[in-house]
Amino acid sequence: MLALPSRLALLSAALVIVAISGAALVWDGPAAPTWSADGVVAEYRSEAARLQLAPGWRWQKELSIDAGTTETPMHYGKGFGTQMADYRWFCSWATRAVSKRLAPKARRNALEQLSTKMRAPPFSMKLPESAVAGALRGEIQYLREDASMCGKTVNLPVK
Amino acid sequence: MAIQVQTETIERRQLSIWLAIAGLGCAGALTGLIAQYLRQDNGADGALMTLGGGMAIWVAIGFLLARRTAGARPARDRIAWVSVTAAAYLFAWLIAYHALLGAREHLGFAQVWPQMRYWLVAVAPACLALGFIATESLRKDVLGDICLALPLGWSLSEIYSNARLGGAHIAVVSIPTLLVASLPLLALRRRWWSLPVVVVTVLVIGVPFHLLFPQFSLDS
Repeated sequence: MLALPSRLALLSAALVIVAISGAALVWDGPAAPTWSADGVVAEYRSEAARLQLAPGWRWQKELSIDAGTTETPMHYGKGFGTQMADYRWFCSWATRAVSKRLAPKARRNALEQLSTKMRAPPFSMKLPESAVAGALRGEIQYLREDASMCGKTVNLPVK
Repeated sequence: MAIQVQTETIERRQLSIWLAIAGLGCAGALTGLIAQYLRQDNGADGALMTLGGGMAIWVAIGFLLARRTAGARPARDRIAWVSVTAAAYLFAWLIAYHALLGAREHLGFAQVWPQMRYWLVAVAPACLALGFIATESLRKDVLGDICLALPLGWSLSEIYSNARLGGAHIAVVSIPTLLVASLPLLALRRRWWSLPVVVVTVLVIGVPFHLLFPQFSLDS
């Protein structure tokens, strides 16, 4: 390569640049891997097996996931089931951490549970870590807002 | 004997070109990783995140590095070679930035590619522009002054937008971006018309850019 005449080397470098940029322009990339509804459920169960919910919560026995029809089956992105499980785990502890009916020590334990686990990979989704960090500093309102969303999320009944 | 010396000189020059390309590639990868790391950090009221997702400061660093290589290149094909080194920086930056995004967010290539591809397309024209500006900024005339002022011009929008967001954004985004974009001005000729040239260039580039792309970042 070093022995290449300068102009030829330059032309080669230019061709590489044009090839990369050109490929990026025309190539849509590989199709994102997808799951059927069964795959989502399997992912959810697998993630649920490694997480412990807050006291009083349990994993749903049945998930309401639209499977589509035989002709047009539904496709879900890989990780969707894992995210659902992670979010339910977050909801269980966040709801406990902001509950006014629990003793301060129990709320604090819930916060620490959230904080410790959310910092440790692997978590499939970006959980609202800043809200937990804020709550640990005494700013509970953001976590309360996040916890209040849990009951409104499709497919995720609060209990 | 003379032919042998000439061959050795050519080979040494070629080696230095490839080393420069490799060096800028490494620098691009490193800054891309830093940018993505900051992008994932929501500290300082989100200012670190804004800095990581910004464009101006990272392109300005590329300009400074490309300008350094421009000074070491022989005049023949200088703009073209500096463009190639700029491309190495930009490609490495984009690939490192998105690779770390995929690794930290558990995203596969298929999910990262749609976000990355249009920036890769932009590298071809961008490296030519950066190579031209970096090389011409070495000139000791008005065009040289204009080229030295361009980084501040394309950074003006991010400096101004973040200055309006409060102390954290001023300290973390506006001031570092301003400092990096102003570094090329140290090479400015000390002529009385250099300052007006810089001011006009910054405004002519910066104001329309801000009006057209007020939220310009890698996420937009």
